[in-house]
Amino acid sequence: MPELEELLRGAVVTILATSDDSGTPHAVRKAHITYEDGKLLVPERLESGKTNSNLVHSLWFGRKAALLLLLGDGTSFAVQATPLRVHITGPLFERFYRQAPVAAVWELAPEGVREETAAVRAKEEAAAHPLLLHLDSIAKGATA
Amino acid sequence: MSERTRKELLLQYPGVSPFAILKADMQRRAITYTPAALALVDPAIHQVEYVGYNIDKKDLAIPCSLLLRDGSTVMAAPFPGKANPYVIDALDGKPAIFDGGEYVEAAEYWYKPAYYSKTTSSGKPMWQVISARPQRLDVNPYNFCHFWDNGKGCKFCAIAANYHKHKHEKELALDPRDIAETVAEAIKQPGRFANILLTGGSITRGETPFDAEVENYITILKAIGEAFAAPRFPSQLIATAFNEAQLERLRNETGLMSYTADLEVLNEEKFNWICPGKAEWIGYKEWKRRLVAAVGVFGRGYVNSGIVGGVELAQPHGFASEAEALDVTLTEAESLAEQGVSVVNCVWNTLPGSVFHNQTVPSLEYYVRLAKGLQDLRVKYNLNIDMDNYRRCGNHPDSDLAR
Repeated sequence: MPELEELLRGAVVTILATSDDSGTPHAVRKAHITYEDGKLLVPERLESGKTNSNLVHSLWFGRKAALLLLLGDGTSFAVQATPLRVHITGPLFERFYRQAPVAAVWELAPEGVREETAAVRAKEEAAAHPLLLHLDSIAKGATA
Repeated sequence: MSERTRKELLLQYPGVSPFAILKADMQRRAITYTPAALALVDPAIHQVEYVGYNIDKKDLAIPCSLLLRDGSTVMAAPFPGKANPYVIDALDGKPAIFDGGEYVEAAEYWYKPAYYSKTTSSGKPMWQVISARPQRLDVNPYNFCHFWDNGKGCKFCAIAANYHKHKHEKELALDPRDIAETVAEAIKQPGRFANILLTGGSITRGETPFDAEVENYITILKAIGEAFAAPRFPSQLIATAFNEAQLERLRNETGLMSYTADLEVLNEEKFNWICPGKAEWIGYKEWKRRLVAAVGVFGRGYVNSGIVGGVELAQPHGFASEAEALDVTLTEAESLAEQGVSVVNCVWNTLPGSVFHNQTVPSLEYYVRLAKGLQDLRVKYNLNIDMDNYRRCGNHPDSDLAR
């Protein structure tokens, strides 16, 4: 997924969304997410934090997480990802820890990238669902 | 309870971590390594154990233990005579766990810490001074339990047998300076360690019983504390149930942050049978009272008690049914939890050299229900178990559920 690596490099804001066992979502801004060997590596600073807990339970019970990447040019992209493994010790963990103290490094498997830029999505949805609009928006003299 | 399989229990307890269930089963059934799995072991990288204590006996290196994908530690080892162990084999060049020939999960061998290749100024290899878990330094400063002096050690415990087996190559007590130097060296490795555990056998001597044990721990903790800028450091002492004056000394004179005194079995009658030394020197009710007193010294969430879950079913004097054993254990655990003392479970392993080496361990479902029951009590009483969690200890399926 080479485009994901490029998108991560260009992202000015990255948001990670997870959910708990009751389905309650939790979204936070995350920095320093990288893409290596086909996997997303997500450093997590807070061991007792909600994101870490949600990722643990997502690994246990087969739930997915979502990433939203906002780029400097105003475009945005969403990535669904499945937690595969957490590093709490070992060479990879220590590599991240040396850069900044972390509690864990998560390996997530990305499952496709979808552009979420508003104009692009509106165009896609209009093509797929031409009935889903208000009539005044296509009346003579309407401003687009 | 009927003997349900791990797969059946995953369906029956969908809210319990499948990793914790696997771990409990691996601990009760033990593991074995195939030659292909052992070929993946690199003693230069991995933390290994040799058959025999002496480093010169390098005839067979086996991994110390395993890590799972969720960061859980599985403290499991090969035990001769276990009929149906999980098999650790190689799959695509990596260790993997198999059950009955079927793939179960990926596994990872523990990594050797940097200090393992160093020696203290006295010339002692540091790996012999302090052993490591993935994130914990394990200090065992005293390798004999004096409850065995009159043969009254705990019946599930093999410390006396191990001591006599290795006493010609492993000393009774560690030198505090060796310990301090090893800790100072170990914590140079960034991110490698998050906790220090001290535990050893009970030392009954002293003006007040166990004063000698307390004094030994204070000496060692003070020496360890020299390595830290902060007055307190993440640490756990698993020791005898000390009286208030002894607990106050530990708290006030050292950087110790948490305290554990293992009741082992949560029923007075079974305790008296299984842990006769603890019963003789302190007694069940007094042990419990001292645990609660320790909460006043160390605080809620900083005191707990370990049990050897399943040992209450040992025969001929244990409970006759798993249902009764579970009910009694969780009821008693609740009485402790409501007073601020958490209970954590170690899966009973019928250790060679222990009195109970020929006993049969309970069903996996017993351990699943026990783990869930203990964690539910922590939630009910708002008890934090950071001190003994998956990372700082890793030997309790119940505290794995606290994540």
